[in-house]
Amino acid sequence: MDINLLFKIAGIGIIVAVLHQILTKAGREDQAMMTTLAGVVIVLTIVIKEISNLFATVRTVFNL
Amino acid sequence: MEVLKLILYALVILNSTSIGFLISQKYQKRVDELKDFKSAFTIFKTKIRFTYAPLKEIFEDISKSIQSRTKTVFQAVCLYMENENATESWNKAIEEATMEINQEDKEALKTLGKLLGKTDVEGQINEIDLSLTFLETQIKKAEQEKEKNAKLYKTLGTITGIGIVIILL
Repeated sequence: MDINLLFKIAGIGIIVAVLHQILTKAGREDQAMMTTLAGVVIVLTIVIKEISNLFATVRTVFNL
Repeated sequence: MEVLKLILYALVILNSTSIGFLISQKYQKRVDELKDFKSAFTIFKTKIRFTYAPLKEIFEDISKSIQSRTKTVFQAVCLYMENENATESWNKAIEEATMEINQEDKEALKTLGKLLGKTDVEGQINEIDLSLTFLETQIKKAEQEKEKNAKLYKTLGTITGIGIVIILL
């Protein structure tokens, strides 16, 4: 796992936070919600491989 | 390869920024067009009051004296008035106008057409005044919408571009 992944996720987090702020200020709360949700989904799709890696490692460590 | 990638990322940001800019410009254009109509109506009123010229000539004069896309509407009215009466040609020209104004604005503009060329000078002037007040409320509405949305779309475009680049990185 390289450190770039963390930076990428942090970047997406910042962008989503800014988007949320802008949209709520413009009175579009529902769209702000949707962007936050989209951000969560995007980050999840990025990290899902790492998570499955982690589970596989746990399994091999404890011989399950 | 790295340089090419960087250039493409820059292009993505540039593109989404310009898309945001274009969308925000629509609101400004709507306000401008409504203001053009307002000044055109004022010219119309003065011409009717002082020159007693036929409607077609007045419309021709107006289309010459304003610069923006609004003048195409008045040109279209002149064209349609060859065969149809004033009300029909005004409504048709407004309906066919390809501008940023929305349906609500078009309805407000159409109030002018209802009695166009059917009453005496006083009646015409009253009618223009009436449609000017309608236009005034539409301009206010358009300005409020511009305040609310123009800045939003500008920042939204840039930030979406940066977001896409970060995801692609």
